[in-house]
Amino acid sequence: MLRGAQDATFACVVAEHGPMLARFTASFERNRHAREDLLQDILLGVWQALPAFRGDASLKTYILGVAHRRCASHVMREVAQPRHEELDDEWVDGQPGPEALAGLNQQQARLLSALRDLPIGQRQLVVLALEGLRYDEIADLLGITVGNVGVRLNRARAALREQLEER
Amino acid sequence: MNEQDKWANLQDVWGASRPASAVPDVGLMIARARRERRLTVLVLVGEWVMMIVAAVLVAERWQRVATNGYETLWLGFQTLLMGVIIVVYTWTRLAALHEPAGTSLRDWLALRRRRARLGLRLARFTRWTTVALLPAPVIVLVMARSTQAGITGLVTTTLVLGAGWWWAQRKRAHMNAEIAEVDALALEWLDEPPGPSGQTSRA
Repeated sequence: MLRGAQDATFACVVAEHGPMLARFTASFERNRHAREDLLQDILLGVWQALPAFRGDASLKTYILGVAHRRCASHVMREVAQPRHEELDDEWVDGQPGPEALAGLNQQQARLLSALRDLPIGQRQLVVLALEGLRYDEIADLLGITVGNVGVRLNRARAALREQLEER
Repeated sequence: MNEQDKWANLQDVWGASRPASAVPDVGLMIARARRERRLTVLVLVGEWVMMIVAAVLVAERWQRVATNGYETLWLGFQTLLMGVIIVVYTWTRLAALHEPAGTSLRDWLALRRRRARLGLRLARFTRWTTVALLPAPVIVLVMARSTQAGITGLVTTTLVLGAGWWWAQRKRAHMNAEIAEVDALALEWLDEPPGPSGQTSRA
Protein backbone atom coordinates (compact mmCIF):
# COMPACT_ATOMS: atom_id res chain seq x y z
CA MET A 1 0.00 0.00 0.00
CA LEU A 2 1.36 3.45 -0.89
CA ARG A 3 2.28 5.77 1.95
CA GLY A 4 -0.40 8.38 1.15
CA ALA A 5 -3.08 5.78 0.59
CA GLN A 6 -2.14 4.00 3.80
CA ASP A 7 -2.36 7.25 5.78
CA ALA A 8 -5.74 8.12 4.25
CA THR A 9 -7.14 4.66 5.00
CA PHE A 10 -5.79 4.87 8.50
CA ALA A 11 -7.41 8.28 9.08
CA CYS A 12 -10.79 6.84 7.96
CA VAL A 13 -10.33 3.84 10.24
CA VAL A 14 -9.54 6.07 13.22
CA ALA A 15 -12.55 8.28 12.53
CA GLU A 16 -14.89 5.33 12.17
CA HIS A 17 -13.56 2.88 14.73
CA GLY A 18 -11.73 5.15 17.19
CA PRO A 19 -14.62 5.28 19.71
CA MET A 20 -14.96 1.49 19.58
CA LEU A 21 -11.24 1.11 20.30
CA ALA A 22 -11.50 3.62 23.14
CA ARG A 23 -14.36 1.61 24.68
CA PHE A 24 -12.47 -1.62 24.21
CA THR A 25 -9.38 -0.15 25.86
CA ALA A 26 -11.41 1.25 28.75
CA SER A 27 -12.68 -2.21 29.66
CA PHE A 28 -9.10 -3.41 30.17
CA GLU A 29 -7.42 -0.38 31.73
CA ARG A 30 -8.76 1.89 34.48
CA ASN A 31 -5.96 4.40 34.62
CA ARG A 32 -6.51 7.23 32.18
CA HIS A 33 -2.89 7.79 31.19
CA ALA A 34 -2.19 4.10 30.82
CA ARG A 35 -5.39 3.83 28.78
CA GLU A 36 -4.21 6.55 26.42
CA ASP A 37 -0.86 4.81 26.03
CA LEU A 38 -2.59 1.53 25.33
CA LEU A 39 -4.88 3.16 22.79
CA GLN A 40 -1.87 4.68 21.04
CA ASP A 41 -0.20 1.29 21.00
CA ILE A 42 -3.33 -0.28 19.51
CA LEU A 43 -3.61 2.42 16.85
CA LEU A 44 0.03 1.89 15.92
CA GLY A 45 -0.70 -1.83 15.65
CA VAL A 46 -3.69 -1.09 13.42
CA TRP A 47 -1.52 1.14 11.22
CA GLN A 48 1.05 -1.65 10.91
CA ALA A 49 -1.61 -4.27 10.21
CA LEU A 50 -3.67 -2.34 7.66
CA PRO A 51 -1.51 -3.13 4.60
CA ALA A 52 -2.05 -6.85 5.24
CA PHE A 53 -5.84 -6.56 5.40
CA ARG A 54 -7.28 -8.79 2.66
CA GLY A 55 -10.96 -8.58 3.52
CA ASP A 56 -11.26 -12.16 4.79
CA ALA A 57 -13.13 -10.80 7.81
CA SER A 58 -14.84 -7.44 8.26
CA LEU A 59 -12.53 -4.49 8.91
CA LYS A 60 -14.11 -4.07 12.34
CA THR A 61 -13.30 -7.68 13.30
CA TYR A 62 -9.78 -7.28 11.91
CA ILE A 63 -9.18 -4.14 13.96
CA LEU A 64 -10.67 -5.69 17.07
CA GLY A 65 -8.27 -8.61 16.58
CA VAL A 66 -5.31 -6.24 16.72
CA ALA A 67 -6.78 -4.44 19.74
CA HIS A 68 -7.47 -7.74 21.45
CA ARG A 69 -3.89 -8.97 21.10
CA ARG A 70 -2.43 -5.66 22.27
CA CYS A 71 -4.79 -5.59 25.27
CA ALA A 72 -3.83 -9.16 26.16
CA SER A 73 -0.14 -8.24 26.19
CA HIS A 74 -0.85 -5.06 28.13
CA VAL A 75 -2.88 -6.83 30.81
CA MET A 76 -0.23 -9.51 31.28
CA ARG A 77 2.52 -6.88 31.56
CA GLU A 78 0.45 -5.07 34.17
CA VAL A 79 -0.03 -8.30 36.10
CA ALA A 80 3.70 -8.97 35.98
CA GLN A 81 4.66 -5.40 36.94
CA PRO A 82 1.76 -3.76 38.76
CA ARG A 83 2.07 -0.01 39.17
CA HIS A 84 0.37 2.44 41.48
CA GLU A 85 -3.24 2.53 40.38
CA GLU A 86 -4.84 5.89 39.98
CA LEU A 87 -8.46 5.10 39.29
CA ASP A 88 -10.14 7.17 36.70
CA ASP A 89 -13.59 6.25 35.59
CA GLU A 90 -14.58 9.46 33.89
CA TRP A 91 -16.85 9.00 30.94
CA VAL A 92 -18.01 11.59 28.52
CA ASP A 93 -20.84 11.03 26.16
CA GLY A 94 -21.30 12.90 22.94
CA GLN A 95 -25.06 12.46 22.84
CA PRO A 96 -27.29 15.51 23.36
CA GLY A 97 -29.78 16.08 26.23
CA PRO A 98 -28.45 16.60 29.76
CA GLU A 99 -31.10 14.47 31.51
CA ALA A 100 -30.78 11.57 29.14
CA LEU A 101 -27.05 12.06 29.32
CA ALA A 102 -26.97 11.83 33.10
CA GLY A 103 -29.00 8.61 33.07
CA LEU A 104 -26.96 7.11 30.29
CA ASN A 105 -23.66 8.00 31.91
CA GLN A 106 -24.75 6.35 35.13
CA GLN A 107 -25.70 3.19 33.24
CA GLN A 108 -22.44 3.28 31.34
CA ALA A 109 -20.38 3.69 34.49
CA ARG A 110 -22.27 0.80 36.11
CA LEU A 111 -21.77 -1.42 33.08
CA LEU A 112 -18.08 -0.57 32.80
CA SER A 113 -17.53 -1.17 36.49
CA ALA A 114 -19.34 -4.54 36.28
CA LEU A 115 -17.30 -5.49 33.22
CA ARG A 116 -14.03 -4.67 34.90
CA ASP A 117 -14.88 -6.95 37.78
CA LEU A 118 -15.34 -9.94 35.50
CA PRO A 119 -12.44 -12.38 35.11
CA ILE A 120 -10.43 -11.49 32.01
CA GLY A 121 -11.48 -14.60 30.07
CA GLN A 122 -15.15 -13.70 30.47
CA ARG A 123 -14.64 -9.97 30.07
CA GLN A 124 -13.10 -10.28 26.61
CA LEU A 125 -16.06 -12.36 25.40
CA VAL A 126 -18.66 -9.96 26.77
CA VAL A 127 -16.92 -6.91 25.35
CA LEU A 128 -16.60 -8.49 21.91
CA ALA A 129 -20.27 -9.50 22.00
CA LEU A 130 -21.28 -6.01 23.19
CA GLU A 131 -19.45 -4.61 20.18
CA GLY A 132 -21.80 -6.66 18.04
CA LEU A 133 -19.48 -9.46 16.90
CA ARG A 134 -21.18 -12.70 15.92
CA TYR A 135 -20.29 -16.02 17.54
CA ASP A 136 -18.30 -17.15 14.50
CA GLU A 137 -16.35 -13.87 14.45
CA ILE A 138 -15.52 -14.20 18.14
CA ALA A 139 -14.51 -17.82 17.55
CA ASP A 140 -12.15 -16.71 14.77
CA LEU A 141 -10.66 -13.98 16.95
CA LEU A 142 -9.97 -16.27 19.87
CA GLY A 143 -9.20 -19.46 17.97
CA ILE A 144 -11.86 -21.53 19.70
CA THR A 145 -14.97 -23.30 18.35
CA VAL A 146 -18.31 -21.56 17.87
CA GLY A 147 -19.89 -23.99 20.35
CA ASN A 148 -17.26 -23.11 22.90
CA VAL A 149 -17.99 -19.42 22.39
CA GLY A 150 -21.68 -20.05 23.05
CA VAL A 151 -21.02 -21.92 26.28
CA ARG A 152 -18.46 -19.44 27.57
CA LEU A 153 -20.49 -16.42 26.58
CA ASN A 154 -23.56 -17.71 28.38
CA ARG A 155 -21.51 -18.12 31.52
CA ALA A 156 -19.98 -14.69 31.06
CA ARG A 157 -23.38 -13.04 30.58
CA ALA A 158 -24.68 -14.71 33.73
CA ALA A 159 -21.65 -13.42 35.62
CA LEU A 160 -22.23 -9.93 34.22
CA ARG A 161 -25.88 -10.04 35.30
CA GLU A 162 -24.80 -10.93 38.81
CA GLN A 163 -22.30 -8.09 38.85
CA LEU A 164 -24.92 -5.63 37.61
CA GLU A 165 -27.47 -6.77 40.19
CA GLU A 166 -24.96 -6.23 42.96
CA ARG A 167 -24.63 -2.58 41.93
CA MET B 1 -38.10 -7.37 29.62
CA ASN B 2 -36.69 -10.71 28.41
CA GLU B 3 -33.04 -11.68 28.21
CA GLN B 4 -32.66 -10.60 24.59
CA ASP B 5 -34.12 -7.16 25.30
CA LYS B 6 -31.86 -6.75 28.31
CA TRP B 7 -28.84 -7.67 26.22
CA ALA B 8 -29.89 -5.27 23.44
CA ASN B 9 -30.25 -2.55 26.05
CA LEU B 10 -26.76 -3.26 27.36
CA GLN B 11 -25.41 -3.09 23.81
CA ASP B 12 -27.10 0.30 23.33
CA VAL B 13 -25.61 1.62 26.56
CA TRP B 14 -22.20 0.27 25.62
CA GLY B 15 -22.32 1.51 22.04
CA ALA B 16 -23.35 5.02 23.08
CA SER B 17 -20.50 5.37 25.51
CA ARG B 18 -17.28 7.21 24.89
CA PRO B 19 -14.47 7.06 27.42
CA ALA B 20 -13.01 10.35 28.53
CA SER B 21 -9.73 9.63 26.79
CA ALA B 22 -9.97 11.08 23.32
CA VAL B 23 -8.56 9.24 20.34
CA PRO B 24 -4.90 10.30 20.47
CA ASP B 25 -2.93 11.78 17.63
CA VAL B 26 -0.64 8.99 16.57
CA GLY B 27 1.15 10.96 13.85
CA LEU B 28 4.36 11.15 15.89
CA MET B 29 4.26 7.46 16.71
CA ILE B 30 3.76 6.59 13.08
CA ALA B 31 6.65 8.84 12.03
CA ARG B 32 8.84 7.15 14.63
CA ALA B 33 7.70 3.71 13.49
CA ARG B 34 8.58 4.65 9.91
CA ARG B 35 12.05 5.80 10.98
CA GLU B 36 12.60 2.60 12.97
CA ARG B 37 11.47 0.52 10.01
CA ARG B 38 13.91 2.31 7.71
CA LEU B 39 16.72 1.87 10.24
CA THR B 40 15.97 -1.84 10.63
CA VAL B 41 15.99 -2.34 6.88
CA LEU B 42 19.29 -0.42 6.56
CA VAL B 43 20.89 -2.51 9.33
CA LEU B 44 19.70 -5.70 7.62
CA VAL B 45 21.10 -4.60 4.28
CA GLY B 46 24.40 -3.69 5.98
CA GLU B 47 24.60 -7.10 7.64
CA TRP B 48 23.99 -8.91 4.38
CA VAL B 49 26.61 -6.80 2.60
CA MET B 50 29.14 -7.61 5.34
CA MET B 51 28.25 -11.27 5.13
CA ILE B 52 28.72 -11.32 1.36
CA VAL B 53 32.03 -9.43 1.60
CA ALA B 54 33.25 -11.91 4.25
CA ALA B 55 32.24 -14.84 2.06
CA VAL B 56 34.06 -13.34 -0.95
CA LEU B 57 37.21 -12.72 1.13
CA VAL B 58 37.19 -16.29 2.39
CA ALA B 59 36.74 -17.59 -1.16
CA GLU B 60 39.61 -15.43 -2.47
CA ARG B 61 42.04 -16.58 0.22
CA TRP B 62 40.83 -20.14 0.20
CA GLN B 63 44.13 -21.57 -1.07
CA ARG B 64 46.05 -20.11 1.87
CA VAL B 65 43.33 -20.87 4.40
CA ALA B 66 42.92 -24.45 3.21
CA THR B 67 46.52 -25.25 3.99
CA ASN B 68 45.94 -24.59 7.68
CA GLY B 69 43.50 -27.07 9.18
CA TYR B 70 42.65 -25.08 12.28
CA GLU B 71 42.09 -21.84 10.36
CA THR B 72 39.83 -23.64 7.88
CA LEU B 73 37.76 -25.01 10.72
CA TRP B 74 37.61 -21.64 12.45
CA LEU B 75 36.60 -19.70 9.34
CA GLY B 76 34.08 -22.36 8.31
CA PHE B 77 32.54 -22.17 11.74
CA GLN B 78 32.41 -18.37 11.73
CA THR B 79 30.80 -18.26 8.30
CA LEU B 80 28.27 -20.89 9.28
CA LEU B 81 27.45 -19.11 12.53
CA MET B 82 27.11 -15.74 10.80
CA GLY B 83 24.91 -17.32 8.15
CA VAL B 84 22.61 -18.90 10.72
CA ILE B 85 22.38 -15.78 12.86
CA ILE B 86 21.84 -13.41 9.95
CA VAL B 87 19.22 -15.59 8.27
CA VAL B 88 17.32 -16.22 11.51
CA TYR B 89 17.48 -12.62 12.63
CA THR B 90 16.62 -11.16 9.25
CA TRP B 91 13.46 -13.21 9.33
CA THR B 92 12.66 -12.37 12.98
CA ARG B 93 13.22 -8.63 12.54
CA LEU B 94 11.29 -8.43 9.29
CA ALA B 95 8.41 -10.32 10.90
CA ALA B 96 8.48 -7.93 13.87
CA LEU B 97 7.94 -4.96 11.54
CA HIS B 98 4.43 -6.17 10.75
CA GLU B 99 1.49 -6.89 12.97
CA PRO B 100 0.55 -10.55 12.35
CA ALA B 101 -2.48 -10.35 10.09
CA GLY B 102 -5.68 -12.28 10.56
CA THR B 103 -4.42 -14.49 13.34
CA SER B 104 -6.56 -15.57 16.25
CA LEU B 105 -5.37 -15.07 19.81
CA ARG B 106 -4.50 -18.77 19.96
CA ASP B 107 -2.44 -18.60 16.74
CA TRP B 108 -0.75 -15.44 17.90
CA LEU B 109 0.24 -17.05 21.19
CA ALA B 110 1.52 -20.09 19.29
CA LEU B 111 3.57 -17.76 17.06
CA ARG B 112 5.06 -15.97 20.05
CA ARG B 113 5.85 -19.31 21.67
CA ARG B 114 7.54 -20.60 18.49
CA ARG B 115 9.64 -17.45 18.18
CA ALA B 116 10.65 -17.64 21.83
CA ARG B 117 11.66 -21.29 21.44
CA LEU B 118 13.67 -20.41 18.37
CA GLY B 119 15.44 -17.68 20.36
CA LEU B 120 16.04 -20.15 23.16
CA ARG B 121 17.56 -22.68 20.77
CA LEU B 122 19.82 -20.01 19.32
CA ALA B 123 20.92 -18.99 22.84
CA ARG B 124 21.64 -22.61 23.69
CA PHE B 125 23.61 -23.07 20.46
CA THR B 126 25.66 -19.94 21.17
CA ARG B 127 26.36 -21.04 24.73
CA TRP B 128 27.56 -24.51 23.78
CA THR B 129 29.65 -23.29 20.88
CA THR B 130 31.22 -20.74 23.24
CA VAL B 131 32.15 -23.59 25.59
CA ALA B 132 33.56 -25.57 22.68
CA LEU B 133 35.61 -22.57 21.55
CA LEU B 134 37.12 -21.79 24.96
CA PRO B 135 40.62 -22.94 23.85
CA ALA B 136 40.45 -20.58 20.83
CA PRO B 137 42.18 -17.56 22.48
CA VAL B 138 45.14 -19.72 23.53
CA ILE B 139 45.39 -21.31 20.08
CA VAL B 140 45.28 -17.88 18.45
CA LEU B 141 48.08 -16.72 20.78
CA VAL B 142 50.24 -19.78 20.11
CA MET B 143 49.80 -19.67 16.34
CA ALA B 144 50.32 -15.92 15.94
CA ARG B 145 53.16 -14.71 13.72
CA SER B 146 54.16 -11.92 16.12
CA THR B 147 53.63 -11.05 19.79
CA GLN B 148 51.46 -8.06 18.94
CA ALA B 149 49.27 -10.08 16.59
CA GLY B 150 49.03 -12.77 19.27
CA ILE B 151 47.91 -10.34 21.97
CA THR B 152 45.45 -8.63 19.64
CA GLY B 153 44.03 -12.02 18.60
CA LEU B 154 43.86 -13.19 22.21
CA VAL B 155 41.99 -10.07 23.38
CA THR B 156 39.65 -10.04 20.37
CA THR B 157 38.78 -13.73 20.61
CA THR B 158 38.24 -13.49 24.37
CA LEU B 159 35.98 -10.48 23.92
CA VAL B 160 33.98 -12.22 21.19
CA LEU B 161 33.53 -15.32 23.33
CA GLY B 162 32.64 -13.27 26.43
CA ALA B 163 30.11 -11.19 24.50
CA GLY B 164 28.59 -14.36 23.02
CA TRP B 165 28.24 -15.91 26.46
CA TRP B 166 26.72 -12.74 27.95
CA TRP B 167 24.30 -12.40 25.03
CA ALA B 168 23.24 -16.05 25.34
CA GLN B 169 22.54 -15.66 29.07
CA ARG B 170 20.43 -12.53 28.50
CA LYS B 171 18.62 -14.06 25.57
CA ARG B 172 17.82 -17.19 27.57
CA ALA B 173 16.36 -15.18 30.47
CA HIS B 174 14.35 -13.01 28.09
CA MET B 175 12.98 -15.97 26.13
CA ASN B 176 12.09 -17.87 29.30
CA ALA B 177 10.17 -14.81 30.52
CA GLU B 178 8.43 -14.59 27.15
CA ILE B 179 7.37 -18.26 27.28
CA ALA B 180 6.13 -17.83 30.85
CA GLU B 181 4.08 -14.80 29.76
CA VAL B 182 2.60 -16.67 26.81
CA ASP B 183 1.65 -19.58 29.07
CA ALA B 184 0.04 -17.19 31.54
CA LEU B 185 -1.87 -15.50 28.71
CA ALA B 186 -3.12 -18.83 27.36
CA LEU B 187 -4.27 -19.85 30.80
CA GLU B 188 -5.94 -16.56 31.65
CA TRP B 189 -7.49 -15.68 28.30
CA LEU B 190 -8.19 -19.07 26.73
CA ASP B 191 -8.44 -21.37 29.77
CA GLU B 192 -5.59 -23.33 28.26
CA PRO B 193 -3.30 -24.93 30.86
CA PRO B 194 0.35 -25.04 29.78
CA GLY B 195 1.05 -28.62 28.66
CA PRO B 196 4.45 -30.27 28.48
CA SER B 197 5.09 -28.31 25.27
CA GLY B 198 4.24 -25.08 26.98
CA GLN B 199 6.63 -25.52 29.88
CA THR B 200 9.27 -22.91 30.40
CA SER B 201 12.56 -24.24 29.17
CA ARG B 202 15.39 -24.58 31.64
CA ALA B 203 18.02 -24.68 28.93
